[in-house]
Amino acid sequence: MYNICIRMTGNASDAQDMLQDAFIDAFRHLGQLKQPGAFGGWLRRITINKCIQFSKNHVRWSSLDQDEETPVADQESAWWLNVPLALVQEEIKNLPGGCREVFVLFALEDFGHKEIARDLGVSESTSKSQYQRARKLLRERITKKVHLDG
Amino acid sequence: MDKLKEYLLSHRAELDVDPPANDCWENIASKLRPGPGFSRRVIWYAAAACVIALAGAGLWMVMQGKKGSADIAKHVTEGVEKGAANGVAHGPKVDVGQGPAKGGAEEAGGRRHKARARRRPAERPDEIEAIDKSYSSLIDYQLKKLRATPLYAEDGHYFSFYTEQFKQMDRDEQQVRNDIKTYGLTGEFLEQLINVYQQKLNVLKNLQTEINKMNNKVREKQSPSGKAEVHYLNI
Repeated sequence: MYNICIRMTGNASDAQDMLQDAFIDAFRHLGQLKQPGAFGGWLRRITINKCIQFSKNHVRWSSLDQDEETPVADQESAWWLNVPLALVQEEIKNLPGGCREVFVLFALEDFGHKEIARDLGVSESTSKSQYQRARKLLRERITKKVHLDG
Repeated sequence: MDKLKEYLLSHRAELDVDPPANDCWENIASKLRPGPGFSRRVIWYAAAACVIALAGAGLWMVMQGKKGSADIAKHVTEGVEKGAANGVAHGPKVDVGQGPAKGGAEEAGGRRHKARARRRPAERPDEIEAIDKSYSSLIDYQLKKLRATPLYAEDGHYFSFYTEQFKQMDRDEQQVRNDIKTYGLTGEFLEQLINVYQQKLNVLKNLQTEINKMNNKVREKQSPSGKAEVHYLNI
C-alpha cells in the first residue's frame, strides 16, 4: 500500500499521509466490508482513491504537444526487459506530476483511460497523452542511467 | 495489451521496494487506538446534551415567566425518559461517576438501564433514535412557541437572519443523516448530529429573546389605546 502511495504522490511524506488516511478510513468503515477475505483489495481500492483525491487537488495539468499523444508502444523495443525494477520504481517516482499518476493508474493499477479520465477529472485524450509522455520520459531517463552506470 | 503495462503488471510485487518510515505504523496505530471508549463518549455527549437542554428549558421558563414552564418540564422529562427507555444514558442517571444519581426513573429503570449503557452503542439505531427524540421534542416545542408568538414590531422578514441560520442547520442535519446512512453510525457523526441540535436550540433561543426584546420595546412606546399590527413567524 505504501508503494502505491509513494508512486502516486512521488514523495515519502505525502505517501505516508495518504497511507495513514487510507488505513484510518478503512478501519473506521470496517463494518461495510461484507467479505473479510476481500480486505486486501478493499484496502487497496481505498488507498488508490485517497491518492486520486490527493492528485486531483495537487496536479496542475499541462497541455501537451500533439506528437506526445501518438502511441509509441508499438514502435519501441522492449527496453525495459533488462532494467532493474528498483530503478523503474525510482524513475516512476521522479516522473512529473500528472503523467506519473496516469502512468501508475494505467500501467500498475490496470485502470482504463476512461476510468482514469473520470477519476482524475481530465479528458480521455489527456490521460492517453500523459501516459505516452510518462513512457517516453521513463525510457529516456532509464536508458540514460543504464548507460551511465554501464 | 501494451507490452510495458503487461510486463509491469506481472512484476508489480517486485517494484514494491520502498519501505515506509519506522514511525509510520506507529502513527497509524496511535490514530486508530480508541481514546476514551465510544460508549463513554456517547454517555458524555448525552449527559452534556441533557444538561444544556435542561439549562435551556430553565432559561426559557424564566423568560416566559408563567404557564409555559410546566409544559416544558413535561417535554424535557418525557424526552429523557424516552431516552432511558431506549437504552441511552442521559445526564446524571448514568453510572459514569459524574454526579449523584437522582430521580425516580433511575430506581425504576435501575440495573437494566445501567447494563445497557455499558454496552457498546455503535451502529445501534435505537440509541440515535432516543437522542433524536429528546432533542426533536424540545426543538418542536420551541418552534411551536415561536410560531405562536405575535410579532408586534416587525414582520417575519426582520428575523430572516435567524430563520436562514435555522434552515442551514436543517441542511447540515440532513447531510449528517445521509453520512450516517452511508457509513453507519460513528462517534464522529453522533457528535456532529448533537452539535447541530444544540446549535438549533441556541438559534431558537436567541430568536425568541430577540422577538421578546422587540415586542417589549413596542409595548413601552405604544399608547394604551393604540393597536400595533401583528405578524407571526413562518419558520
